[in-house]
Amino acid sequence: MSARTETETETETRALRVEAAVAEEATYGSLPLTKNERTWRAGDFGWVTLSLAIATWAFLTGGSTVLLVGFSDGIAAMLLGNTIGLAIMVLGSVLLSQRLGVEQYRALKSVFGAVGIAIIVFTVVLVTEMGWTSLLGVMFGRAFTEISNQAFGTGFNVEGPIVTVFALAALLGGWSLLSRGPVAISKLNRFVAPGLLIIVALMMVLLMSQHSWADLFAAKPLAPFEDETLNFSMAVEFNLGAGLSWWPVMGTLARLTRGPKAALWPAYGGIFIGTVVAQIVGMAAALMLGAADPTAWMVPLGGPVLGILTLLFVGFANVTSMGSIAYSTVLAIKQSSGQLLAKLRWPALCAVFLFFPAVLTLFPSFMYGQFMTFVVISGAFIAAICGVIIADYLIVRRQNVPLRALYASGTNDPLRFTGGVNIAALAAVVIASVFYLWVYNPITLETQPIFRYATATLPTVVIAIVVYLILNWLLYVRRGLGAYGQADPFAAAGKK
Amino acid sequence: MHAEMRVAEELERRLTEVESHEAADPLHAKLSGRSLTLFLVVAGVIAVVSWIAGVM
Repeated sequence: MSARTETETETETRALRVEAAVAEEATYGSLPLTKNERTWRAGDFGWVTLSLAIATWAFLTGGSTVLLVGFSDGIAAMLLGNTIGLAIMVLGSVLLSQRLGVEQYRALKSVFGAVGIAIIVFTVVLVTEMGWTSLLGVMFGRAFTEISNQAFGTGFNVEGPIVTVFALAALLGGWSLLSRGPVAISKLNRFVAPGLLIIVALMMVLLMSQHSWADLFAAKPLAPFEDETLNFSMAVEFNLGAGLSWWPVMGTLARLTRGPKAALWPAYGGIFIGTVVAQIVGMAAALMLGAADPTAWMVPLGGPVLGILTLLFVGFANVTSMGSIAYSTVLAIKQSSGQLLAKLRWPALCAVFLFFPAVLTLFPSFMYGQFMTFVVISGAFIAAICGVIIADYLIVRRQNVPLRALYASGTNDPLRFTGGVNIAALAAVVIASVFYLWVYNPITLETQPIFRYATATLPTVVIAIVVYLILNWLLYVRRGLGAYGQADPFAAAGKK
Repeated sequence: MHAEMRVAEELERRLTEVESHEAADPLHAKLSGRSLTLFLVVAGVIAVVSWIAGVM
């Protein structure tokens, strides 16, 4: 056998191994986990969520917050937005998956129906994760354009076509990582999360060695509107959206935990602490250096050598973050598509998903410029979805979901609702999201008076809950459909 | 067909194990009303303090 043939055979064998591992996860990952597979205690899950939260997007969120408000108001908006957003997100994701040990989108069949949850995955989840993926790609592109300018004096425009070229290279790297499966992603994340922690600490030390705390607290927001109350409300709403944006990935992680408290507190606390730490540095750097973009801070802060090294690390950290969010999304797509995409091989499926973020990177300044709008709009839909899930799981079902029915199909499926769709759930999501966009339109920036005092998210969640409770009772509960009010097989769980 | 049967068997094995051996395990406990209240109070207190700090 020639050397070339041996290499080809090796590559093919590795590809098949990855394919088999991913297929196993996609198939068996949707099955309920047994006790010996659920190994995470609160501390383990807390470390995972903390590592996820200290990522480059937190710098960008911090930098964007101080476009509207100064440092002290920015901290208040960040704490207020994240505490509410994360609390809603956690109640709408981790509890259900944790109790049953079932992957998030399979468990949500009990709320939306099998077809209904596929609709949610192929619209809200797909668009949200595509946006974040392209944003990470553009950030990589800007980081490498900056490196090229600093190291080789190239003078490229950080909003020009070269950013797209680097962003596409990042997506290619992301695809290569994704194609190697979850093990490769988690191996890289073991180095990236502690590395970002070091960068966060280093940035703050460098920043405060060059500027005083008095300067920081006195610094004016970068691009505020005239109305200060409105600026603060918009900053809070943006941070609410950032907190809610964890919803697509959190339930599937929480199914590995060993109890409801081990899922609830780390999902909230780990993300909250990680976000606060990274975002404070992001806000401080943006205010002191006058730019919301994290890739513009590193060289002025650390000098050419340290700055370039930091940019290099941040760039590669973006590729692993991209791998993490894209992996869970591609898996959700594979599981929700039924037979439609079943025959597509894993690398091809990853390429299909990454194609759309690649198109978005053709407009690099658009994605950066519309970052706040994107976060707020995706938050509008996720807030409504979480409201419906909270209403169904905590109020109507009282945490009792028929486990076997999650795997039933056909006409005997107790969770069939109306042709596989819980119409009440989807209608509540649509009505509540439209209400959100009426209260606060992030494109035209038109607001209703309630927005200044109650945010758009909180009333949206309340409306989603109320509309769902009414419609669901009319359509399903009173007619004995939807497997409500059944005996709880785990009623004795945890009782001494 | 063989793969589908294997998945169906594995699903049944897992469901049986979860519903019989793990039915009383704290792993599957509901989140208690007390824990839920505590969680909402903590999130609420952080929200109220941040809001007061923001509007002052």
